[in-house]
Amino acid sequence: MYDLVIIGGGIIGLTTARMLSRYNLSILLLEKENDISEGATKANSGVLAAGFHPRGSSLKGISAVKGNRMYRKISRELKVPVKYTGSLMLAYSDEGVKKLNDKYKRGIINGAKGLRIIEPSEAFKIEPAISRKIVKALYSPETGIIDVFKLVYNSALLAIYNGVQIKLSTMVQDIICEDGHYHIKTNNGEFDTKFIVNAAGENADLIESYVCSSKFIIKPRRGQFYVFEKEDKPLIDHVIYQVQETDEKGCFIAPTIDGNLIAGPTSENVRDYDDKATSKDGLDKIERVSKKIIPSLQMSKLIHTFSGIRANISNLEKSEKDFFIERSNKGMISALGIKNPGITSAPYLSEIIIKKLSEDGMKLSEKKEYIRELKEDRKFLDCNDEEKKRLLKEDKDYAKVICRCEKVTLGDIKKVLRGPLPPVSLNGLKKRLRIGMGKCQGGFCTPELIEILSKEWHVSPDKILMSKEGSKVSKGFVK
Amino acid sequence: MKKYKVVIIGAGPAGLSCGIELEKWGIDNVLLIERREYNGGMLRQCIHDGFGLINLGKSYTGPEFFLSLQKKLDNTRVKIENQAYVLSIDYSKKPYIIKYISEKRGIVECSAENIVIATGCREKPFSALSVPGTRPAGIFSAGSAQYMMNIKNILPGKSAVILGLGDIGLIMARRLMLEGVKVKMVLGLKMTGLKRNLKNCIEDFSIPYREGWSIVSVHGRKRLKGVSIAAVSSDGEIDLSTKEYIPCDTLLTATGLIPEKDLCPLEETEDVYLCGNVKRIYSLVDQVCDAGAYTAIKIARKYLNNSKELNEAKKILKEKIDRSFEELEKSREDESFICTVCPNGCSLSISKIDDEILIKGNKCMRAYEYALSEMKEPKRIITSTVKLKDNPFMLYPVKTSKPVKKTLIEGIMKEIRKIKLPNKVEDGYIVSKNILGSGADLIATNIFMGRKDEVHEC
Repeated sequence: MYDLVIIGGGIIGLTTARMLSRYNLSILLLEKENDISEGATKANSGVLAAGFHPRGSSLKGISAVKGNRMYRKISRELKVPVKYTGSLMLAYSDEGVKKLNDKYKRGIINGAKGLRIIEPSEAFKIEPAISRKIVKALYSPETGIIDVFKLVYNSALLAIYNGVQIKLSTMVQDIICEDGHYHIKTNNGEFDTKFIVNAAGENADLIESYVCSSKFIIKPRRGQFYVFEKEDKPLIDHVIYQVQETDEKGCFIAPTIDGNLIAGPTSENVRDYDDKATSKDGLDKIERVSKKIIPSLQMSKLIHTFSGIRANISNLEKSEKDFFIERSNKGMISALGIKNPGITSAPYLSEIIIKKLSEDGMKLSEKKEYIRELKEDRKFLDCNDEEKKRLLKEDKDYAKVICRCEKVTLGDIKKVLRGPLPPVSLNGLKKRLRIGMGKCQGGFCTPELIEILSKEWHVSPDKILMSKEGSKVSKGFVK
Repeated sequence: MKKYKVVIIGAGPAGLSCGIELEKWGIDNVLLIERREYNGGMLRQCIHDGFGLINLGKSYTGPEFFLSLQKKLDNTRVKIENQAYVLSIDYSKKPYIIKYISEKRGIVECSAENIVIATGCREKPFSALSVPGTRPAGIFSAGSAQYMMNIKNILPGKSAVILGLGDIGLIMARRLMLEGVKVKMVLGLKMTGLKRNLKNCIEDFSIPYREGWSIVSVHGRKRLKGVSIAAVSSDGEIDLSTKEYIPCDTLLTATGLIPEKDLCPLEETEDVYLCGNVKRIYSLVDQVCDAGAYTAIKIARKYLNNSKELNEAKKILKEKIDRSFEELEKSREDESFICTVCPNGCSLSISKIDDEILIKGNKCMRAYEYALSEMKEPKRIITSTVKLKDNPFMLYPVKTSKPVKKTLIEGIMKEIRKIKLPNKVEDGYIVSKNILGSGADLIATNIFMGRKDEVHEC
């Protein structure tokens, strides 16, 4: 019998697991995919919102403001790079200025600090590359950027080090309430637990429906993004939003923590959560808006396009939409409709989840010993010379550079493969080491990786997956 | 810290040629840094023939052409550091300081009076084209697939579409067909490949190709299931009314090469030379070699004051390079039949009146014989690879010792698949005598691991 089963290995599930791992609790986290963070957490902008987008006093707004600030400490504890870059929101017309004022008010109500409506001259000083056609801008010092892949991976690592078990490729198929506890049926075993956190994102309504009738219907809403090559001198340092005109949705441009630029997202309903295709309309729209924000943006620097899926509550009016942390049943707390800015809000939402669990009788007694923070874990080529020499003595594989663009060595790869949460696919490696995310997009390293993984796992090359089951990278040997 | 007169980064054809030419002019104290365990760069995976027609006077395979360079380099005093990756170059003062990491010796620093950057180029990834659709497994850049297939023994897929009508796209189409992968179509905006590649790679295998077409959507969530293609007008407008779906599990893209400038200084810097494809993208390896030699001469001029000989050599080479571009352009435009036997590359006009074949335009009898055999019984050299006994992830390049009848290609490829070689054989080793009674032997075109120089630290 577990004290707690967390359903879902995205940002909410992993943050909750990490926070609870300091207590005397036996915790199991179940994830239906073959890796953590394969849903909405995987594909987003990596921006830490300042909380002026959501409605005033909404949970979404408040949790964004509070979560944003909590990342200062989390970043230190988990050794995840965070940069509070600040942001500008641009208005091109008087109509737009009204919307800016509205965002300003929302921000103030939600608790955001330092918001200012500024003149174009000041905006150009802050970001010289932005459009000259703006009439006003909203400045926020609190907007930031974060390495999301590292955040979720390191959250999982800390949780694991403190005793949390993570079971991948395990899909919950039913939950039965027995006297005083829950019995969970999955495709990969059955588990008994006293408490449940439902952080199943896209499937949170389904999971909830096993124990009660869910108020919400969650449907997929897709967002497409552009990624641009790293530059020695990035075009912008701040996150640049713009007031929506016509059908532009919330499309914006932001630097990433690794030095790329990211532009997007679009927002459109799709039929299912696996529909991560990009569309011509969507891509055209991003290009149009990006160039509107930064006229000098060179499309030739584009290296990648991708889509992410948001878990969108579809049966509520826009004015009622929000994040919901609900008590689905005694001892079972569900997080519903957590879409953007879910990464930002996650720490605060997890605190609410924990509070509700405690109200339902979960005992939170701190372990005598637990790991509070992770040690800095740099890739070999990011280490200083002293560390490099030490590592080279340990293993010569550190001298073998496999990914030139993102500077990853065979030693780094083997370390991750033999670590506590090893990847099972090329994308899993990519999320942990950024391998293949550079400007050649895996052109040079993919063949090497197929060989390395085949040898490491003692399988033939046709067993190596790009991501999910069935996504075979190659068809075996030529001869 | 070791001090060098010249440090060359990259031991592909440009870097090797530069090293060889430096020796020719007596420039000593040269270090060649190469990332891989073997030299040759892309030549190693280009197992097809057609290299060296200009500089060596006959058609070599990539590995053979590389071997000819390596043998010349072996007679020089150039030091080679393989499996060495350059971490940084300090361009702020002279001599420049290069920091690299070597599998053998860890982190090493050396200084250089001159730096030659010969790092070649990389392929533009498909994801940069912003083609709408899914992002499944099974999409590779053509060079990446070539490396997988010709060296690593990894099969990218079973049925393929190729985007790109340049030489790389055409050559990969033939490679896939030879190795048993069905090529459904090769398409692109414009045919930019050499005539002989269109003929030998596409027409020989009756592969459908379309000029003025592009891929407009990618399908399949896990592994690629197919692509949608459509005609594109000359001003870049996609005509969706022409849209067609082609099922395939693999897409190779050869849509452009980008110079690999990561190690280059941000602005032009004294005594730093960009050489080969890192400077501009060349079509022929002969040109890349000439560019390497040209760079060497430029460096040598600084040390051998006003040498007449050197100035003369520079002029000749410059003219040769310029001429090769002109000739290449001409050969692209020429619609007639081109003889591929010797570098003359005669444009032949062939006509058939009743049963008599009339051939005009040949400068020598070899071209005449070639044209005649093309008309009567076409023959081709087969290039391929064979398995090694102990390493499933390494293939050995082989070729037939002379052209064989086109009709025998399929049978010979089947024979080749059965062969397993010991891990080390000599160059020119006869893998199979008179293969399939074709009259040609199957010979190994050796993998050369590079000379094992020790670079001693002071």
